Amino acid sequence: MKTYLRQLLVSVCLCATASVVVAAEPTAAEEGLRISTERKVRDTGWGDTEASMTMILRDARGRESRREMRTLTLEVLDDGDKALTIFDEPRDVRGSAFLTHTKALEQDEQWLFLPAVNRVRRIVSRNKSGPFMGSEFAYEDLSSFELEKFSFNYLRDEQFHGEDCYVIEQIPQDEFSGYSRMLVWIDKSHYRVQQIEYYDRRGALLKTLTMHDYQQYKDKFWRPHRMEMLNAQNQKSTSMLLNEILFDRGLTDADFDQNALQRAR
Amino acid sequence: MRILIKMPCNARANRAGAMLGLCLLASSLTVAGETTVQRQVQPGDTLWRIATEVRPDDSVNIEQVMQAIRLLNPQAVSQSDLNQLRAGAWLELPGRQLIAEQDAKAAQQAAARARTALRASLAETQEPALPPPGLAAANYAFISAVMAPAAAEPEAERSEPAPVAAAAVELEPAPAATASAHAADASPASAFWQDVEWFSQLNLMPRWYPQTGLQQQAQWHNSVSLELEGYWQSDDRSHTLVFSPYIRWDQRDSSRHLLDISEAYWLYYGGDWELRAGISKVFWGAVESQRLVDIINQRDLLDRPDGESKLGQPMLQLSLIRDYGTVQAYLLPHFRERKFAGEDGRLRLPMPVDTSAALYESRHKRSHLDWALRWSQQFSSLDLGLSYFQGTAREPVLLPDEQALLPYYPQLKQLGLDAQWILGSWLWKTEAVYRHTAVEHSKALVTGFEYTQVGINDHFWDLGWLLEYQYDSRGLESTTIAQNDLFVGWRLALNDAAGSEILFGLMQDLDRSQSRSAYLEASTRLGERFRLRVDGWLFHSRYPDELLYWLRRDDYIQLTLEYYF
Repeated sequence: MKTYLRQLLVSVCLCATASVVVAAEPTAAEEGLRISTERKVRDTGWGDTEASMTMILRDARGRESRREMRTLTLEVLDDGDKALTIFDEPRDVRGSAFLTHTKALEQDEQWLFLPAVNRVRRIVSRNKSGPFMGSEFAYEDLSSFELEKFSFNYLRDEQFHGEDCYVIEQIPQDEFSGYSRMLVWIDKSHYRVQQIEYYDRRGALLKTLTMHDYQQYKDKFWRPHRMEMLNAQNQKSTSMLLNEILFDRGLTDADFDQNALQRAR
Repeated sequence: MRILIKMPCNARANRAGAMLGLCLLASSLTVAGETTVQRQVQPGDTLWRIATEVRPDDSVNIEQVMQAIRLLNPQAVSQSDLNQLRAGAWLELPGRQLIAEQDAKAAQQAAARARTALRASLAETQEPALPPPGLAAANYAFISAVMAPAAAEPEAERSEPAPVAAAAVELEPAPAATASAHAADASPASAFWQDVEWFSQLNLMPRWYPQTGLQQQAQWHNSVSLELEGYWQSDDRSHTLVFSPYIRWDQRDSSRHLLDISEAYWLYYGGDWELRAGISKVFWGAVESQRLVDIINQRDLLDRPDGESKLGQPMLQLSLIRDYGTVQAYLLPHFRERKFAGEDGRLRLPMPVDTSAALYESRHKRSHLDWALRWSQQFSSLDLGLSYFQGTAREPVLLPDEQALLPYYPQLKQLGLDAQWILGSWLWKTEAVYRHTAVEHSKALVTGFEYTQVGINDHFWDLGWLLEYQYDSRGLESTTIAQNDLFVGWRLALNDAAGSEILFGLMQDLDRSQSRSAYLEASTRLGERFRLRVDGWLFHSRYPDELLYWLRRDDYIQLTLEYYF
């Protein structure tokens, strides 16, 4: 990722230089990539985290159900990140654990640990568009943001949540993504994502995700403590609450393999 | 000098195998010395059965015996079908020397062909009569014949208090300690108990069989089970303690009562290695329709007939996590016997199994030190495992005695392979084993795929298509119902908030159109603390020589209400 970023930055710089020479505006694609690259760069180097989260699922009639989970995350600089999620509630899935190795270019690798039979099951990761734990979040909404997964177009500037934002169109490169495109609101002050609109394969608005209660960690990295996902088509919604997040827990690759999956509880 | 011994052979091979773990055994007689012996072929006799009677000891294998019989009696053995004997013919039985002269390999190949034919002959068999009194002595002779030379006279092992049960009593004070911890001050011990997390699961399990059993057993069988789990992990996550007792009560069948420890272990994690000591459960494998390589734990077939439920196994396990893969070594000091349904239970054979009189090939019986090794590695889209097990077979051979079947546990060496390969939406799975006991070598394979269609409708349902082929070289003697079978299944995940899932599977014997079974597993969450499961089985067979036949009236549907607290 580091070398890739360097190349990218170099090419972005070259483009910038070129555009100065030709005295032309950067294209929408160049500007989209520049902003998204800056978003990624500003969130690079956080290392590892351990977080506890609550998910509240609401159906169209407002009935709620809760999910409690803990997530360990490891930043991988030259590829997608690794994440291990352990479920605490509902009780019938307590102790189940879900391991993802996000891949920048290939299919993600995913495993599920089922404590009742002490079994690790490999999962066909093409179900990325499927709901995570029955929520309105799809697996792909929760995997790490990698530049290689999308093409970008800068659309416009717009105010959102009282912040000056860039609006970027993001087009998934993976044919198995559940989306035809996403619109992403990125604030100009810290390059944080404020809102994402997801459009289904037919081009209709499917979901809207908004980020709230951003807090800064290690003087650099911003994390939203509340995310709200609203499905525009079925009126269901999911709140993802970040109860606690700790950085620099000393996690290594060994905490994200199949053995770790079996130890996790 | 020629002595003619006429032996009646009216004991039918009591054949059935399968999920309940049965093996064929015929009446037998050891013929010693150089005396020439003749024997008349009775209706229904097979070459295999006669060879088991004639085999002097385990220095020769059964195929060599059959080959020698063929050699001596070309007139009585059909050359095209090596298992076919002319009824009424007199056979000259070979002595040890002649048997030993037979080429073991060639004989095995001939035997493989003969076994296919054996199956056909047994299919003609009508309902087997119970073995006549007086058969037990002959069985002991057979057992002696198959025992390893080191093994002494087999003794029936009478039940003794299981150490596991004893441990349950000793370890019981846990809840009391927790209670006192709340009252007491913060001594290190009470701090420990406060850190222990307790979880419980209560299951109510009404089960209904649409028909009464073959032995007139009842249609409704209700049972209840309770599992507790205490879990503690040190702050640095290097030490983990798990303690999990389990109790089950059944309305009809006292054999299904169980007071057990499903897990009680200490796990130490040292960065690139792990050590586990205590009672635990281990899963190996990849495929859906059967468990071939998975051998560490005894199965709790009384809980679930498909073998997915297990009994805790005492073990010492060392895992080395290295670049070349994970290597796990297991020492298994105490053997857990298989449990069988009692006389009032369903899903059983015509004769009860006397589990209090289990027989072992090893003179150490349950204390035989079994061991196993496994190497597993993940190569991006491929997960691969190789395993070896040596010790007491988890599946007993059932020997007919006067009133009951006696479980006999031979020594087993098993080499296993399991692999999963992901290719887009396709998950290819294979398990294969090579097994070796004093009486036979066998191979088994399950291979197939799961193809997943994601988001098949607006509700994001996932539909998985499963297809697996099952092969076992033992054919009908296989202890599973799968010897040349096809499994087809569908897995539907609704991806809803209730986590609803449905799995339907169908197993069809490819050789016998009237032999098949099917199952359904469905579950959904009710509120935050309940889960409702529906499990059903259908068994269909018209062939008395296979286990399925004896389960043909045991179709059932079970509701399970799980309560978590």
